[in-house]
Amino acid sequence: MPQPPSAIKQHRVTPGGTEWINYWDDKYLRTFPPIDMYLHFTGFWQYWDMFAPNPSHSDIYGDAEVIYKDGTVKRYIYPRMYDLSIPQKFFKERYRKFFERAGSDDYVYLFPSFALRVALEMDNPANPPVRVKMIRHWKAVAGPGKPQPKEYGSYNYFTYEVDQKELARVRKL
Amino acid sequence: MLKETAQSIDRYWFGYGSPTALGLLRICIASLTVAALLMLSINWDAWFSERGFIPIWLGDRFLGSRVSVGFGTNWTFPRISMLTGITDPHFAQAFYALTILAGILTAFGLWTRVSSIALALGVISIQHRNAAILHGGDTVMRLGCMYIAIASSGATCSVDRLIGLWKGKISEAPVLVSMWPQRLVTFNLALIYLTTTWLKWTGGMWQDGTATYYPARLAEFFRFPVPKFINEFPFVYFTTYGTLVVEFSLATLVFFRPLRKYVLLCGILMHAHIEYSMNIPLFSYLIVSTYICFYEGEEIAAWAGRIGERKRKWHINIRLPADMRLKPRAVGFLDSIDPFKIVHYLPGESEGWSASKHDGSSLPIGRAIWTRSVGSWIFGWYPGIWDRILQNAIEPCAEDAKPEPERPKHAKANR
Repeated sequence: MPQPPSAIKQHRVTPGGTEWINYWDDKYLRTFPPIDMYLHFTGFWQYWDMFAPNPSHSDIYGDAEVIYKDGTVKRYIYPRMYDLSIPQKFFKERYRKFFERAGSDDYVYLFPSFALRVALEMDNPANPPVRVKMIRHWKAVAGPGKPQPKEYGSYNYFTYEVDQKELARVRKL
Repeated sequence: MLKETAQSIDRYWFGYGSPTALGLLRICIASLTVAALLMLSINWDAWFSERGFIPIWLGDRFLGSRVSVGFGTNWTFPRISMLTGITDPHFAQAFYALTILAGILTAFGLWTRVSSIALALGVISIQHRNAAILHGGDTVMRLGCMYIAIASSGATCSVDRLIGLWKGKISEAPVLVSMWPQRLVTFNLALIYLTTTWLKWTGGMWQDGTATYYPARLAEFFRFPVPKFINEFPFVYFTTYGTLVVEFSLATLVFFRPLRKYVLLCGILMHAHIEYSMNIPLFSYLIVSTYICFYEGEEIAAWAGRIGERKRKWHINIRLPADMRLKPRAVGFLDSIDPFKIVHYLPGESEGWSASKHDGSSLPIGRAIWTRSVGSWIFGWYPGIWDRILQNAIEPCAEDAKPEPERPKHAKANR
């Protein structure tokens, strides 16, 4: 069930009509331990918030800059669906889905592991990467009747100083 | 009246009926699951290894590997996952391969009870291992695998049934199973659409009719080209409000028999548009395959029979060798692999088998049977198999020959 609006959750507004269903669901059922436990233990948990409450209106993709020990800089191309052929994007859609989370500030704890994997994929044991700059490219979809922006904005949202011991460990795996 | 209502509800949920819909659901869900797992396996190292984007400790943190018992305690309960704590890539890869094997066996309906449970456990474990790459289609896939594991989905449209019929261990009479798993699938589907409609309605873009304007302009979702007017106003109002109406109907009106097929058709068209225009692999196929559960097995069998009746030019007559008849177990076997009832076995007068089309022209026996018997497509192509089957399917007629056993009659369809 959808969560009730925050104003209702915070008791600033009294629920009206079908909002009572969301209110009671949130208060009594959503975190009722036996139900919660049953759903999450068995794998019956489910969320149906695709394109809801509003569809995404930002086009986002990512890549990275990898700086090596000798100072050279290379670009890491994270699979971008727009640049792939139709069969390729069908098979690699997971990359887009992962970046939806791993490129979002809601999942900051994913950033170091993401960057470490980038370092591993761009690795050169003779000249190892020492820093990885994760870059987010975005373009907001303009509303109806407005001209669509052509250029993407870019933002270095995370810089990872490569842990060489950790890189050496994963190199051996 | 209350008692009658309660009995009616009980019959609806726990009555007995044909498992044909469940069998078809099993084939669709298991096949799509195998396809999804094979697609994932291409980048297995990136998603499921300790050197990947999500090592196991991070996967546990993302989803939460343990569930709180609550009630003021600090007790926790683990989620189902056979991959908990498994960092050895060889074990994980072997587990992955076994899950795919379980999917193939489930799709064919071989050792269905064991293979479907193994598939469900495998899919749950793999999804619990790395939930950061999951989308709505994966959730449908996981739920579908669980439902086919708890249902009698191998009772029909399965190799298990064919083997049982051939060996004479299963009666050729129509199988009846409890319908509650099929009802669960339909109500879960209704819950999906009700929840998503409700959630969408809380968003301003869906209320003002502009919602479908935006995803159509997200480059990361582009797939096949779409005529320009579909993503422009005023057609955007149609697609936005149409989506809400169709999804709400799929949660409510779909249970009203006179409107059922129209609602499901609208759902299929909606998902076909999504599948065509947006890169969300397998989601539309997975969710549309669950629509089959809105039909009773008897209705599906009757529909197949009507299709067969209409396609007269595909009918063939198979004449047995002289003075031979089909063994009773062979009757059930051959009947079960021919859902459209277009292959007719008749007494013959010549020494060997013969096959003739409706216009009298002859054709090779093996090809004649297996091309028309949908249930034999998984094995009928194998060279020489039909000779062996037909040899073992017949016995001499007794001197006081009994008439050939009649085929089980179709259940009357509910229109």
